[in-house]
Parts: sequence; C-alpha cells; structure tokens
Amino acid sequence: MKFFKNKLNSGDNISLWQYLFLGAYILFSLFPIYWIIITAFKNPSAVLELPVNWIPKNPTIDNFIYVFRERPYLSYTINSVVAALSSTLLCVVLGTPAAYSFSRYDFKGNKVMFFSVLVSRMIPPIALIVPFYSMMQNLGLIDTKIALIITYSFFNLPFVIWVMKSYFDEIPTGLDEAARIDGASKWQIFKDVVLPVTLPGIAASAMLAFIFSWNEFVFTLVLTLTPAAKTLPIGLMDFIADDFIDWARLMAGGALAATPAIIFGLFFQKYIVGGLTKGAIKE
Amino acid sequence: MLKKIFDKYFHYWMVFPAILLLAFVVIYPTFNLFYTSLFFKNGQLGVTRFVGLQNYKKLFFDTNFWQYLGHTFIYVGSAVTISLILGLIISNILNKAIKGRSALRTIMLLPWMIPLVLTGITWRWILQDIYGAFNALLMQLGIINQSIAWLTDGTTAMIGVITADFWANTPFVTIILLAGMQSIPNQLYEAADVDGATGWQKFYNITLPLIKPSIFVALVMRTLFAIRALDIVYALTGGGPGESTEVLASYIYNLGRRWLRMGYGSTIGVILLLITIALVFSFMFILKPGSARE
Repeated sequence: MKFFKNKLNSGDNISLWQYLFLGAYILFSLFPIYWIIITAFKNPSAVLELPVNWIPKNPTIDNFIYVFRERPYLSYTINSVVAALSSTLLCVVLGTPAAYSFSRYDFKGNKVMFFSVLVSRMIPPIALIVPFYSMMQNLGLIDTKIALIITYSFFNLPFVIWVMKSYFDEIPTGLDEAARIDGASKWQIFKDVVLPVTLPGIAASAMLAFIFSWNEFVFTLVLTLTPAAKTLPIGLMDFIADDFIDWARLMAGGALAATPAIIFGLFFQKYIVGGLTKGAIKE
Repeated sequence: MLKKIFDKYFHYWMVFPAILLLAFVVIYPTFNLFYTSLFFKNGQLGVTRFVGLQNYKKLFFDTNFWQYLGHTFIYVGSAVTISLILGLIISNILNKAIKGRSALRTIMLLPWMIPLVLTGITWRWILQDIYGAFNALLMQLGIINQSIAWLTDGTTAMIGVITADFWANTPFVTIILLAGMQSIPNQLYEAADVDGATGWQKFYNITLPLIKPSIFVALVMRTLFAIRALDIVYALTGGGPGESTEVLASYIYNLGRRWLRMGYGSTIGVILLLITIALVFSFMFILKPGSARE
C-alpha cells in the first residue's frame, strides 16, 4: 500500500531545525492530552493547589468511580456505545452495496446519485438543526437513541459510500468477470468474490464512522435532553454548567470520552489513515 | 422468476436502501431548511406564519449577524491558514527518511481523534487563570509573574479558540498532504539532485506543484470543518466574553434551539450553506485542482 512505504522520499536528511520544529510540535500535540490524564488522576482538591503539580502526587481513580456513581456517566457511556455502534452498522450495511453498485454498474442516474452523495458532504450539520429538531419532534423521537442513530447517518452514510467506492474502484473488474464466466450470480459475485477482498476497506470505513458518531456534538446536543439519550461528549457539558467547575472529575469524564480515539489511534492507525486519505483524495 | 427480476435490476436494489435513507436524512431536511427560512416560526410564541423573503431582508439590518460573520471569517481564516502552513512543514519532515514515522503519526493523530468538545473543554482548563497549565508554565519559566485571565479578554479568547481549533485539526491536513507527497515518484527528486538542486528548490519546484490536488482537498475539508464548528466555541468560551467569540454556528444554535426562533435560525442556516458552497467554488477556481494531474 503506497501510503505506508518507508523509503526515503525527497532524498534529504532532516536538518537540526526540522528536528527541533518536529519536537516542539509533538510536545504541543501531546501536552493537552497529558494535562487531561494527569488532572483525571488527581484528587479534586489537589487540582486547586499551587504551584501546579506536573506529576500527580497521589494518583487516584476516585474521579472515575465518582462519575459513574454520582453522575449519569454509565448511561452516557452506554448511549455512546449503542448509538455509535448501531449507526456504524447501519451505514456500513447500506453503504457498502451502494458503493459497489456505483463502482461497477453504469446505470441511469448513477452519476447524479453519486454526485449528490458528494454534495451532501458539503452541507454543514449546524445549518440543519432546525429541520432535524422539527422532524424528530413530529416523529416523537426527541431524547431517544433511535433519533441519534438515524441522524448520524447524515454524515456516516455519504462517508461510507465515498470511501468504499474508491476501495471497490481499485479492485480489477477481471475478478468479477472470471466469477461471472463460472456462472456466479451478481449477488454471489459481490458477496463471495469482491467483498472478501475489500475487508480492509470495510474495517477502515467502519472505524472512522464509529469515531465520527462517538465524537458527534451538534445533533446530539440539539436532539437529547436527559441521560436517556445524552452521550459522553454532551455529558461533559454538565460540569461546565455548574457554578464551580470540578476539573478533576470533568477530566475523568473527558478521558472516558477520549478512550476510543486512543484505542483506534494506537492499534489501528493504518486503517484510520488509509480510510481518511481514501475518503478525501479520490474523485 | 423473482430471481430473474432481482438479477436484472440488481444495481438498483443495491443502491435503493441507501438512497432512501439519504433522502430522509439529507434531501428532506435540506429542502425543509429552505422552506422554513421563509416563515416567521417561533416555538416560544407557538406562531408559524409565511413571510416570504422577510427574514432575508432582516439580515441586512441585523448587526449581530454582521459581527458574527466577521468573527467567523477571522476564526476560519486564521485556523485554516495556520493548519495548512503547519501541515506542510510537518508532512514535509515526515516524508523524509525519518525513524519511527509510524509512531510519530500515531502521536500526531491523537488530537484529531478526540471529541472536539473535549478539545474545547481541555483548552478552557489549560487557559484557566489561576490553576490553568498555561499560566503555570509561563510563570515557572519566568515569562510572566502574575497570572493572566486569557478568557476574559475578547482578543486572547479568540486566539484561544483558534489555537484549540488548529491543535485539533492540523493532523488531518498533515495526513492528507503526506499521502500526496508519498505518491510523488522518487526519480523526480533524484533528477533534481543530479542538477544540484537545494532542498528548498526541490520543495518549491517539485513537491508543492505536485501536491496541489492534496492541498486543495485539505483546504476544502479543513474550511468545511471550521466553518461549521460549534463544539470548540461552545465549550471553550460559550461565545464570550461578551459576544467576542460568537460565530455563525453558535448564532444558529442560539436562534434555532435556545430561543426557538426557528424561521430566522433557518435563514442563517441557508446563508451558512451558501457561504460554504461559495468558498468551495472559489477554491476550485483559484487552485484548479485538476491541473496538476497527468
């Protein structure tokens, strides 16, 4: 795969200045994450001590216990997992066949439909909060997870179709031809021949769709009211609404909200980068 | 028989469910947005009345709108420019023979992957005046000797919002540009070496023109993300101090959801959508992304 080659590319070695710049940038990138983590493991009173302790003196997991026991973070976490997983599943199941059809068949309306998928990615979700709110109100779905699952497909479905089409485009049609000559039906060709080869693409688009749903803020803020449907990112704002912000416990909640990012980033970075570049570059 | 029909219209069957869902979540709400923008619709008063283009007329005299539009351009303009410059520098470094590129990429991607609202909250905590990390660092380094209330001043609050934004979104730009750089054939650089080109000449004459399509994509996606972003402003400053960090996105949220002025909120939504489309087209016009492809 071309994105991951490790050969020397532009021929030059790195100058000292470039090393320094890179080092400074990495520090800048990591510092806020380090700050989240150390605050989350500090005693709430230790956070209000000066001078600031850069390494927690008596690290504790009490903040995590607190957000689960005294605040509705268990519900938030469950809602986040359910909404993100369901939306991802829905969009991969519906989007992958559509992408295959766009990639392989030249039918009437193909171009128009695919172009509208592209255009829909340009619509800012914030612009649509009034229509979505009215729609979900009419359906009686305000403050439900179902509303979130449906709404997340606004950005997930076009994304999955877009990414999967470029994965399908890369697979030679000779594969389909050979199977057709062997007497396979169109459905069998898709299911048994092409789909298995595109599993990395499905993994990549599923992971990104999961992260997009997990991190979603605007729609969830507008469509949820109570712990029945609020997700982790929205739940974090509970603390901000308090008169006195309890930073230690807030950051424990924040660390929970950041968990999928860290897991996917550390273990599946190749898929994330692959899906991201495919989703952006191909036309 | 059924099987035959299925096979004949196979391509439609495959597309149909997805298009149906898209009609429901993309096409219908978009039409509804334009439609609602023609109404005086107030949820608090429970009134819905057709007013034609009255809401659009009102825009011209809405000083809040013009002020927030200005903030939006400052925010989007600075955040996108800084991200692009930083992204170019970092991707150019990562494109070289560097050890542990994969590990570096993982570290670098993290800020992009955490929820943006957490980014906003975290920077609010970093910039907090008494116990925040930024003042503590500056004081320990001896740069200042009294803590500064960054978020109670309009200018520094806006700088804070922009910083949080490019902190979170530069990784995306870097990844896109790096992918563009890695697809440049090595022979071009070798030929330049034979001619004795310097590193800067190679960057300016080979790398930059050849990654133009990637720059275009990064610029467009990055601008789209910034112009629609509510998360960071909402969590970091809540639009304050005063109204100095209110942007169009937060205006739409306040109008549409908090004050239930749904008709006018939709009108601003339409304007935001039109600005987005206008920006994408002007980038296409200026950069002509297709021209660098063979």
